[in-house]
Amino acid sequence: VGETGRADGPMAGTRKFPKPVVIAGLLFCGMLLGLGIAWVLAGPLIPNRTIQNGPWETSERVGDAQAGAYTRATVAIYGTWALPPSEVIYFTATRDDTGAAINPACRYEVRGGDLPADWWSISVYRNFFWVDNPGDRYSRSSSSIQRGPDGQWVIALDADGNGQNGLPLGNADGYFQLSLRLYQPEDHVLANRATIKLPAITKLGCR
Amino acid sequence: MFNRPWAGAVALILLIAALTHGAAIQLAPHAMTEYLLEGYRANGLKPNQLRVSGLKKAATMRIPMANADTVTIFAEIDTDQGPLRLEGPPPGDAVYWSISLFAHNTDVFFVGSDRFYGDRPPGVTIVGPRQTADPAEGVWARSPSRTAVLIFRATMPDRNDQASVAAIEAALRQWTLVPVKS
Repeated sequence: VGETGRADGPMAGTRKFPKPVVIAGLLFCGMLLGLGIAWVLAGPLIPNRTIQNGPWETSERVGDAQAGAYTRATVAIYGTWALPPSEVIYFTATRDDTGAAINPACRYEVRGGDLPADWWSISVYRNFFWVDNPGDRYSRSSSSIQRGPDGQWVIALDADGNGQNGLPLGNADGYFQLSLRLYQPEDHVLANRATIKLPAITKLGCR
Repeated sequence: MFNRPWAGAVALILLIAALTHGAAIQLAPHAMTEYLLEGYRANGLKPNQLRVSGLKKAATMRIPMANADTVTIFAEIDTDQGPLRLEGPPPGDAVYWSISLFAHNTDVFFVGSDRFYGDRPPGVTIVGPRQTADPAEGVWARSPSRTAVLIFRATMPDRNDQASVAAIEAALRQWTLVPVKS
């Protein structure tokens, strides 16, 4: 048994544990605190300098080699090996137009038209991964989506994804995200990410 | 030094927290790279070897927030094995394609897309941080880290169009990564 904490030392007032145990406990608490703060700051709970556009948001510098340590850590964990904005601009939405979290017990429509990019896609994720479904349908894109005569399109988003341009949310709960990727965006997009017209996400009803 | 008996303990906890926090933020990208590379290594992929990943399904996808509409070539690059040349035919059916190179900390240090190459034959010579000589010709990129990650992305017009997907995958299988002869 090692030396015990001294009554006039930092541990005064505490029970007298062996000094190595006290130091190990303090180190453990410190590490836990440091890791906890890192998880919160680099995690999805606190956006890293995001740009908001309706229900959609994007990080200022995803894929940028000059990204700060927090953005780099966040992207490394939740969007590993993302491309820079010159190639792809990534928008994500976790809420509908009213601000309510996307819920697999509800039905939504994602409605839009032409987007300012050479090619685009909308994908759905549960807990950062594709939602397993019998048709292996994880996304809709500008080259595969069914459009109306006016060029507008609607994605049906619900548990089964059986509607026109359907995308399934599945039946399990989780943290749901829609990802909108704009590949080779038009020149003006980067500077106008907060104002360009993006698809609306409307809740139609819930079970 | 501390007037309050508990102040030393709090200071120690905060110091350790700050150090741990800084280390975690700095090391997280490296740890993620190693975690993902370990998955490829466990599946038999060796450094500087290309692997064409065909269509993935939800049950087999390990990369978070992956694009469901791409087929890829993946390689772990060991730059200590000398300059390497990546080249191959453009995948004609793809709506977008690009070569991207990432340092061990996940920073991208090279992207060459269909728009970048235009009518030029696609390819890139990869040199490492210990190789001081620049390649004499062609497109090249220097990795800031010994280990880098190469991803060639080819985006499909429709992942359910099997003929189109097969044509893209066939083009990707013609790509090569070979040491540059001095």
